[in-house]
Amino acid sequence: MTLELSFFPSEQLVPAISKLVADFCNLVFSDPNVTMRYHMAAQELAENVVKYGDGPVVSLGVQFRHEGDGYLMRLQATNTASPEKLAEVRRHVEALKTAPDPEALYDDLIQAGAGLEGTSGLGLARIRAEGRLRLDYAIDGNELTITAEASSRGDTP
Amino acid sequence: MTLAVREVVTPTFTFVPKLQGTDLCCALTGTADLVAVEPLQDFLKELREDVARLRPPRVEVDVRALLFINSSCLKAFVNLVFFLREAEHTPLLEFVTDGKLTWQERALAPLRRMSPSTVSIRIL
Repeated sequence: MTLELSFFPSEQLVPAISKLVADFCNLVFSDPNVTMRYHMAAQELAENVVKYGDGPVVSLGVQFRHEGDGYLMRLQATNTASPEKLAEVRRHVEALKTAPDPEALYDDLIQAGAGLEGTSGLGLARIRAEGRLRLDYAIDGNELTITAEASSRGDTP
Repeated sequence: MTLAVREVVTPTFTFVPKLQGTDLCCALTGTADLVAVEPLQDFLKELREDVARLRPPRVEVDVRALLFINSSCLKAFVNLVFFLREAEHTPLLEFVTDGKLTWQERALAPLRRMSPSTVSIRIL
């Protein structure tokens, strides 16, 4: 099953987009706490594309497929961004991908930003640490795609 | 003793404070997403001012009816933990979660790890 959503990057749309993903997850998972992992990830990804995308359209996709006895659940967020922003995201996602202890990295980011105003910068780290989803990214020209996924083999569903 | 922090009631979230004995309590309900970030930051700033004025031994934050919290709203709580920890009077900050909604405890656990001596999570 696949859900593809392309939308104008407006903060007002994020709750509706996030709810669509949650409804999609409710169709495939019976445990609301499992659904919540993906709902949280979808919300954080949707907020990111709206906040950092610089084009007229951004997108969020959800794919669920069976793999043998298990499954793969994947969220994909796509937006265009400036070269500086792309370089920043590349560094951030690489650090999250390769961190031996994602929770410790999340805690470090929380401590580093404590007491400071402004954006949290915690969304992707939260997806990795709290949501226990694998993160990856692809850059094609000025287009950035961030992927967050988990399977029932190797990850807690 | 009266509270200066004002309740926030909107169609999608509420933040309701009250005094319970010597404790300062507040309940969060609904969806703490992008729309809730600024109201939550303002609410927690007023809460901190009440903590400084009233010096309660304990601040309770009941999130059992919270349906969702995004990272920006979590960051508002990170700042609450930080500023209370650094303040002249530091109460115990206790979050109350619903044991059936395990994501609540998982989302708030970093706050406890950030300051284990001043933050606790009670699961009901």
